[in-house]
Amino acid sequence: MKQSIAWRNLALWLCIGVLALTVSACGMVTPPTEPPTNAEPPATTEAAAAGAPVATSSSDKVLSGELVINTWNDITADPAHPSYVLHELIQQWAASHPDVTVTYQPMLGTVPERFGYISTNLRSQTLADVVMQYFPSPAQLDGDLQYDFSADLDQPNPYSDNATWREDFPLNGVALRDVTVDGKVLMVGSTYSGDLGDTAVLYNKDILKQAGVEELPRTWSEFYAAMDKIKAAGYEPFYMPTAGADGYIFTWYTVLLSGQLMDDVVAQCDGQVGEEQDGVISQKEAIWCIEKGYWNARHPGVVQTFEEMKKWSQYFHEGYLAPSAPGNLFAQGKVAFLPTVRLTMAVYENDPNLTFEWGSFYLPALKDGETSPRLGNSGAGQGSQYLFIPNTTVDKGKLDLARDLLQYVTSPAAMEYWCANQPIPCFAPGTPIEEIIPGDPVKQERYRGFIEPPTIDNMVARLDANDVFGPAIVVQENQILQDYLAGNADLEQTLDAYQAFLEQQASNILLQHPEWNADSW
Amino acid sequence: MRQSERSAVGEPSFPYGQRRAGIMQGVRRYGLFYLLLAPTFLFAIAFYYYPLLSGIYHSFTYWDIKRTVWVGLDNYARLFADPATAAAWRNMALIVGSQMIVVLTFPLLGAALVHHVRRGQYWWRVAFVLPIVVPATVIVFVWRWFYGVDGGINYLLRLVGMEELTRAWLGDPATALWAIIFVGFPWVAGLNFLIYLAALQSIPEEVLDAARVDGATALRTFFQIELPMIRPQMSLLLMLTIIYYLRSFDAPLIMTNGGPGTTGTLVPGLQMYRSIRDELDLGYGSAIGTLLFGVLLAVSLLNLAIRQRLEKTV
Repeated sequence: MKQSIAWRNLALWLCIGVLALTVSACGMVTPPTEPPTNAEPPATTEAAAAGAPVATSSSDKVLSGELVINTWNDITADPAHPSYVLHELIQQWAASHPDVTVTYQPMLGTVPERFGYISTNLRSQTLADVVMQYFPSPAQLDGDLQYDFSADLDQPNPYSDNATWREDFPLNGVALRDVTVDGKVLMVGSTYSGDLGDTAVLYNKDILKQAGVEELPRTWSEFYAAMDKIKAAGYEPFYMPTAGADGYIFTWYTVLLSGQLMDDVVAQCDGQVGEEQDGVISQKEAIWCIEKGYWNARHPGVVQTFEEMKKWSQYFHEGYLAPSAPGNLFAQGKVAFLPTVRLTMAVYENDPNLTFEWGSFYLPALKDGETSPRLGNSGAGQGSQYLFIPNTTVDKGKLDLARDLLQYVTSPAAMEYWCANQPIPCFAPGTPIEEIIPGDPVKQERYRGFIEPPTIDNMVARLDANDVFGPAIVVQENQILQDYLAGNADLEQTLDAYQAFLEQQASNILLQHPEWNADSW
Repeated sequence: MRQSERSAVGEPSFPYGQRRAGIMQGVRRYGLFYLLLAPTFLFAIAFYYYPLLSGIYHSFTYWDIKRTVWVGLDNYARLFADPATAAAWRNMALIVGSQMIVVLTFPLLGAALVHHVRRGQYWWRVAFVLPIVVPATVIVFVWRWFYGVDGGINYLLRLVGMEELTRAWLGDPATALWAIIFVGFPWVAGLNFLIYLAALQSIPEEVLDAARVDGATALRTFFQIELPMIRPQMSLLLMLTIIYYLRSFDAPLIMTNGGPGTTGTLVPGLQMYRSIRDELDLGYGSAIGTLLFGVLLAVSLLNLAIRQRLEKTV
């Protein structure tokens, strides 16, 4: 009798648990305040808000159907974000084609997660009709699965007066360089026509003042001296996340250092295996470089990069080996320097809690008298909003629709609209900051690091794991370095692990590209 | 008589015609059952057995969704040569071992206390069972905040003047794995508690009365009467814990992504997940999964054998 009561109690409590879970789950289903993941934007309303189309098509073709776009995050969410202008352009285009419906499917999550989403779904052929993304990595591009625009680029764009679509792209089409593989142009997009950098370091002027740092560092040794003073004043000098959602920042600064120390490797590998000698290392060149042993863990540039990172790590924020906790240490006034990307500038500019004065600068070069290479340039592509068409869209018979949208958003009129509505309007390379942002010294100080030194002819060569193996894989590289920084591995063990990483990834990529005939290298 | 017993005594074989008629009769008799079972069986084939076999096959290939290249035992050779593998299994062994100790102590202690409490037992039960409704992922996120530099644990340490002990718990290789093991402290609430409580409540009152009449103290009754009588439940929970933590990787994924470093909190499940999701190296991920499956199968068979032995002895 007692036993049956006990089991009845158990059943009762399980029912209560399930019921409570159901109730709590129902409680979570509250009306969303933000557009849901697969929200369909109200095309007509948005189009009205975006204004009339800035360009009209010379083609008589009537387009109809539904176009689904994977967007990089929710581009409708923040009118201050640079990507909101692309949303406006898309809505303008939709408004000029009444029989077309545009649906957004935002790709959410961390930056590596979004790259992972694109790579996985591209291969499993489950991406939307058009895909938007930032910072295309050569490792992600796939000529078999993405539509090749090269033939279209040699034809006129119906939304433009230029002889060919290719001429619509500013700065001699420099943005197309990084998305061209084996002569196939796999992405196009809204391209910043100017010399604006994508990365810089924000500084807290109040902390620098309290620490006795009178001027921004101009050399690497001055940079260390400034961090020493900041540390002595009781502040954390440099925010450097090595894991979690912002872990890619650590990757970029590893690239920045190695990019200054491996010129000889770039010289040896650029222009090999039938690739163009253009100062930029393609994936094929990089794999050749690993196979031939030019890019290896024992190269003095790699060794020095790792050692420099270790030296620098004594100034990183507390807990830099763990994923960052919620909250922004820079906004809280706890760290003096914060590396950031231009796309997140609106977050700081619009934060009412940022009560201190702040600005941006670009890190000095490792060697005195030199200029640091730039990580990312908007005109050269990395800050542009790229769009590509998976071949599945062609199979579905939607190529005309998708290509027409892309031709609209890349037309000179649309580019002009896009440029004019960016937080920093487009400018010709070499234009002084005072002319770019006239009469606004506060904004000049905030954006100086993105504009000086000039970027367009001073780019990193892209001989790095991020570009060669893909952004989602660099977590491994970061963790190998973490072991070294934490003292879990000595330099020799770290270099061994890094070499094994390079070789394994190269081996995988060779399996992906039998057409390279690597056996004949 | 069961089929095995029938064959053991050497049942005479029937001629083909008779056997066929028997089968047809069986189909007519149980046809509806087979029909009703079919969808479940088909789904099980599609979503369990096919992926399982596919995983085993692909563990011998390089597979990145787009192309499949047969590489033989390369993935296994790479898996066993990778120092991360040994570290991942070592971490997992530590987690499983710790959780085995946890499941045998804290929820049992909670259940025993609640079982013996005379006043307000109902409310104690409510208090211990209610946390079941909080999703495990939420708990992990909350603990991640606890472990932050400005999180709850460091806040408490500063509050009691022990600032020198504060640290980035998840960023320190010496503490990260223990921090993950510590998630959910004091581990008394939830299903484990409920099973123990039900088991304790199902012990016949007469047995306990007899012990009291014989002059057994409460402590002696617990250790010599109650504990042996709930041994099947303890064994069940132990096995469920082992199986759960062998394949679980949610806490390391959410809290540290396997770090700090290459192996700080890496476990085989996470190693597999990252190979598949981040690197699109599905062949290697399948090899890790196949190894994990083999170990889980062995543990499950061991569990079965132990339970059968226990049933025989009871």
